[in-house]
Amino acid sequence: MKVTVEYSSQIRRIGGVSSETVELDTSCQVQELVKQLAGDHGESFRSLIIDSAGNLQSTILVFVNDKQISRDASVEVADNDMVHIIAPMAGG
Amino acid sequence: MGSKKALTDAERAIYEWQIWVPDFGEEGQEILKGSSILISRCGGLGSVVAYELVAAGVGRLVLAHGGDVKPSDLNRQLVMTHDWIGKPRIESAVRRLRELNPHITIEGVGENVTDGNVEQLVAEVYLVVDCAPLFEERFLMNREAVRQGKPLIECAMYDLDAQITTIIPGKTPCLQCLYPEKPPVWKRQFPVFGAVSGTVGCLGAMEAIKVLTGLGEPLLDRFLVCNLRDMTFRTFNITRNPDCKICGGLT
Ligand SMILES: [Zn+2]
Repeated sequence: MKVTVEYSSQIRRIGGVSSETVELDTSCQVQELVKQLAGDHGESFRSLIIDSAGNLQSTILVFVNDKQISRDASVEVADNDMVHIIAPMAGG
Repeated sequence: MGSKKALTDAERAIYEWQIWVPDFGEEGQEILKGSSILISRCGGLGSVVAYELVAAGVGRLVLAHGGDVKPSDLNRQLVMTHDWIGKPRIESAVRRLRELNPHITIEGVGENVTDGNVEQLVAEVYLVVDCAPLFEERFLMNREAVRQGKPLIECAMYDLDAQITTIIPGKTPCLQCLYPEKPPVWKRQFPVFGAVSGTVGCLGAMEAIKVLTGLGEPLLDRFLVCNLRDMTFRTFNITRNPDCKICGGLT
């Protein structure tokens, strides 16, 4: 199964990656996928997405297609899903 | 929202072209005339929100912005002028907006939003547009808007990206439903083109007009994310957090 993950704003800038497509043999929880990928683009990138306890940062927004995924929701990715990882911003 | 105020012939002439907008009309203009809006900070974003709302004829605008004009403000803060460098930003903002539209009331407060002034500032208006560059200020405004049940337009930018949603307390997610805690990485200084903050400023002004007059469909329960590098605009559905410490108890 093929899943595309897109990164926004500060995350994209720090990781130097705007999106990546991953092939999965079996489905997995969205949060697990995000945590796994967070380790692939350097420590600054990882710490933007993952907190010191190893959980997703509470201030990172995760969407699958156009639906918001809360941190404790149990949602599995499906073939051709688009996962969006969105960083907070307050620029005025 | 607000009470309608009848238009004069002079006002009818000024706003004629927007009165032609279907579902807005003269009644929409009368509602705008009777409305009051608070803009928290008139930086790159708030300057443009203020410009558009002043031009559109919102009856009363309250602006909160502290500090003096600096050279580095001038690439984006369109209500700040070169001749006012070193002098209070709020004076430059009020002067420039009055030049644009002398028919409306513009009140300048030379302070940023604080714990000490937020209650009074929000109490004076029907709606707030939040354009502050710090989450501390935005959380304060969100808390107070929710407490007073006032609509809040949350618009923000970074680099060539922008985000916006419209908050109706008790109905839509509030800012802290989205971000329960202060984001650890946000810094006071951020890369910005005026055209990016201006884009989301125009969107924020349009949302304010829509919420006040019932025009169209505001971004309720929706989060618009704009990427001006590749011109992708996406709308995501967002949901309230039942455990939100700011709005979780509201129905
Ligand atoms: Zn909330």
